[in-house]
Amino acid sequence: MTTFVRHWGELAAAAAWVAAWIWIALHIHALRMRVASGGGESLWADAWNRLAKNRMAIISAWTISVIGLACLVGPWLLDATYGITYFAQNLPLGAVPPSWSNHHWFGTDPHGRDVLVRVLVGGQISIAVGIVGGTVAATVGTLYGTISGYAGGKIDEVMMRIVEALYALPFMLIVIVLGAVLGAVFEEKQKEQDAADAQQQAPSAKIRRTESGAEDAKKQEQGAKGSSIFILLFVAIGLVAWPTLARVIRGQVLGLKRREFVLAAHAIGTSPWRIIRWHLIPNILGIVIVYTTLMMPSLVLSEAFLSYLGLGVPAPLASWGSLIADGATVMDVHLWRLAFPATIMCVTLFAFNFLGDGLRDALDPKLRGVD
Amino acid sequence: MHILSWLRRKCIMLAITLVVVTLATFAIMKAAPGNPYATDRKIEPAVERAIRKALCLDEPWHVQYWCYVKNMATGEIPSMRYEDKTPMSVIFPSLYDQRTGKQRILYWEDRTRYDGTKVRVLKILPDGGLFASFVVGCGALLFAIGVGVTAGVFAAKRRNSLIDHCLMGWAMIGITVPNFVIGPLLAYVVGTRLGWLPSSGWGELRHLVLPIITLGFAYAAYFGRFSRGGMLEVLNEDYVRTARAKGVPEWRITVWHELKLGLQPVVTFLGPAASGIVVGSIVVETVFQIPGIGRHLVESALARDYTLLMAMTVLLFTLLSVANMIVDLSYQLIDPRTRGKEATS
Amino acid sequence: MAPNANKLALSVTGLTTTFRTEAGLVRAVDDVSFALLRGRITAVVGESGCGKSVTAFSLLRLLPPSATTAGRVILGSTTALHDCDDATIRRHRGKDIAVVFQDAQTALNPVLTVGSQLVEAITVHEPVSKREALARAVAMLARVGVPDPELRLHAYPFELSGGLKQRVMIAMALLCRPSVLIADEPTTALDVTTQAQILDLIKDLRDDPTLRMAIMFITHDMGVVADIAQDVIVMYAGRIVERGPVDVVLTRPRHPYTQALLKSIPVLGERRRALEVIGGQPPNLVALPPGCAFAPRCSYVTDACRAAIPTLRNINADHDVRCILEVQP
Repeated sequence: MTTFVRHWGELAAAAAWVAAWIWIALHIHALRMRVASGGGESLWADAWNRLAKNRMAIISAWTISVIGLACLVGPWLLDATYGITYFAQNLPLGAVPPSWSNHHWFGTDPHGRDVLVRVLVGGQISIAVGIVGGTVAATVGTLYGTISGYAGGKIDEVMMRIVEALYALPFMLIVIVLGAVLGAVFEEKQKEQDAADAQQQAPSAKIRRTESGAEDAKKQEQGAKGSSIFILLFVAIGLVAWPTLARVIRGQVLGLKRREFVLAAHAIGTSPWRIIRWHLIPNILGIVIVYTTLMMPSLVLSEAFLSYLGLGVPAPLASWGSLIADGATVMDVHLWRLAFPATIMCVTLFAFNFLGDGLRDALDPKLRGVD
Repeated sequence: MHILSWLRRKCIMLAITLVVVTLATFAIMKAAPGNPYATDRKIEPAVERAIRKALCLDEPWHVQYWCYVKNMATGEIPSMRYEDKTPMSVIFPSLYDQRTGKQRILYWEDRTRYDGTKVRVLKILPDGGLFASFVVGCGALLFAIGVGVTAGVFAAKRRNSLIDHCLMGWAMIGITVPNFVIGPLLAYVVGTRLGWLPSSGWGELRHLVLPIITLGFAYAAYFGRFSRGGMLEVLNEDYVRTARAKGVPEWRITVWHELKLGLQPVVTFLGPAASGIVVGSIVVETVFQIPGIGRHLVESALARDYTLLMAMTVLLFTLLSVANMIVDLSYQLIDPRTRGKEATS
Repeated sequence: MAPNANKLALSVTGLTTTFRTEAGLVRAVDDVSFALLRGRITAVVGESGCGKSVTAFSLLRLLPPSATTAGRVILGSTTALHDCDDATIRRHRGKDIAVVFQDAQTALNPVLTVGSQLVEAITVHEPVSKREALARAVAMLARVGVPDPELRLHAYPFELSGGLKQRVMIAMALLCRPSVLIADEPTTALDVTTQAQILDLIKDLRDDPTLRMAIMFITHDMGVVADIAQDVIVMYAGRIVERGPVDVVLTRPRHPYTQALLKSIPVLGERRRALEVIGGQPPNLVALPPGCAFAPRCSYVTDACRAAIPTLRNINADHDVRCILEVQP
């Protein structure tokens, strides 16, 4: 993947991101129109009204969308206007503090790489972990919890015993092991690549060259290609979190199961799968959204934790965790290398927390103040 | 007896969990490229043959798995990184020096601090390995429970006051900021700049303070939120009103009636908190240079020393499962409703 | 009312309780005055939300901090409860005025044994040993009709049936021999048979010469009122609308609300097309009408009714009515 292709990928993702937020905004607008014109107040309209009154939640939603957009579009902008990329080394400009004049607004690291663009690219990785991991956890957890709750009886008991056993164990350790192994696999692949490239000069068109351009351009290419195996790591991070969601969903389904509309559907002969799909899942969607949003910070933190230990995504790719790891060691001399990644990460995590709390309050005010 | 059948069920779950964990780690290890003991050094053929035999590498995979489990159970873990001592002594450092017969703990020792001062302190802390991590972990858990629950109960009683908002804001910080940011920050501010406490190292009680605070900070935040939530639910319950109507003084209402049920979420969270502290201690030991099992875990992972890595992982899983069982047992004893008695008339 | 001095257990004058809510100030109890006499049951009747329970809780300051109470509450003939500090009120709670709550399932602490909760009721007021307290608890459980009282001491509330739990609640209230017993709908959550048993128990306690209690019985069931009460107070929108001896109020009610309540009870054996209902909506305590609170739903309403709040006026020996009209049933 060349820089060119990478940027096209980023812009496509940015377009999808903006489209998603616009879709949400349109939906909400339609709800408000319906309520204003005297139509029925559905559960979602009611929830939206409460959410809209929660200033912190709205600010958080905006923050997340802006940071996400910046992470996706920023690297391309910086590359197009100033020629700054996350892997381009520029040793003469190594470890300079932030300044306006040389376009390095967040400063540089000892290799001369711009910190701002590395934070943005790191953001791509970290938010991707949140989304991939969150989707995995939500899907597995919802399915498991729904089936367990709906089936009831022996099946439910066995399934819940399994979840209880999993709940309190440090599966993060298995992820660490997985990270170690994936790192080793990646190194092997790199060695093979290097050996193969030594035999033939690998052509790489359309790559920007700097002082040591050829060297790290190839590294970046390999890094991007090989790091796709780290998607596996993101999935594993998501799999650490699903038991919590499964328990919550099961509780909800148990409550819903006794309601009359499920009984009625059953009485007219609806198959269990249809009941789950059409009656149960729409009603638990709210809870799923709330708990997934609340789970995002811990997923991002897990990935940061792995990168801090050196078991996450490989160099030269950055994630917030690896940037913080590098910055923490030189905190007393190069404060900007710790301050900027740490601040951006903490702001994003705060935003997810507030948004999740706001969603929970909006969907069920009775839950306010209770975890 | 009810408790016995419950115990039997839990032991079966424990066994199943261990089997799953060992299988998972074994499978991942087999998927790793190269040999499980490969380093960049050359190994003599005789040694290599011995290792292959110890790991049953020439046998079919189910025999290998059994070999793997047996090795772990007996503690004979082949590892290339440690030549003068067995890996088990890294995890469980001995309390007695075999050669000289002197004890290695609970004696007065002369130490030279990093700034040159000489002191004579009582050596209470273990040398390293699992025991050291245990000390730090327990300390962090006690810190988290003590600070968290107190703050949560306080905040619940004075709901929506300034103190409530401050405490919950603090809790938000604790949950969001990772311990590998707080750790270096504390080490830098308190250790390097202010010089009140050592920013790294191991051996004296003062070395415990910063790691315990770093490790426990996030969980104090969690316990704070949970205890506040649990207390808020209980505060409005009818039986609290009954107690008040009987004339029970406020302090007794808090301790006897509200805490007993309000702290239920806290007890439920003890399990995940313990496992989170185990995981968090990995980072904290790296930051503060504590020779505990967490740091050995990371070093094994980075050095691709798989056998030792798997052994430590399985060990930690076993310990935590047993700890969870004990917590569940005490939970059953505290709340009589979970014992499954039927209503009589 | 001209109460006999040594029979007067509690006198309440001008009790007003206001709640601060998001929607505004809610006057849940408005200028309520009554007296409780020993050896008599005074029933307080009304719809849900009319202020019956809040009245009772205001006496003992069992309300949340958003409530403000004003008025005079005098225990016996001498002890003023309305302006004493919290420590003093706490001493009177359970000892001089005891409460039996509606839902014994939630009113008893689920993780403490029945015995420990009973013992607590004694030991917070009197310095007795645990053994003596347990003995008194056993005796009281026997008094309220609990079979095998020694065994019940070690039971948890969830192990007992509804009727037994309610008896335990009553025993707990009686342990310090209070002069006033407030029963907040104690039979609403029970089935009819158990309800009858508990009502018999309460009548027995009323007639017990060793206890000499004044009982305030809150209910919404007119049948229960007819069964056990000597005096009745009818409340609507936080105000007393009618009060007097039970035989007078139930046979010759003067307030349209009381009449409507009595008319809506179906009579066994009577043939009817439809049940009588009280039209309109229950009162919104945030936005009460300026005049009589019952005016929007009254069949006899006049313009004078809507103009000003009627005062509680005495029309007979002990019979008071808050209505400007003289409505014959």
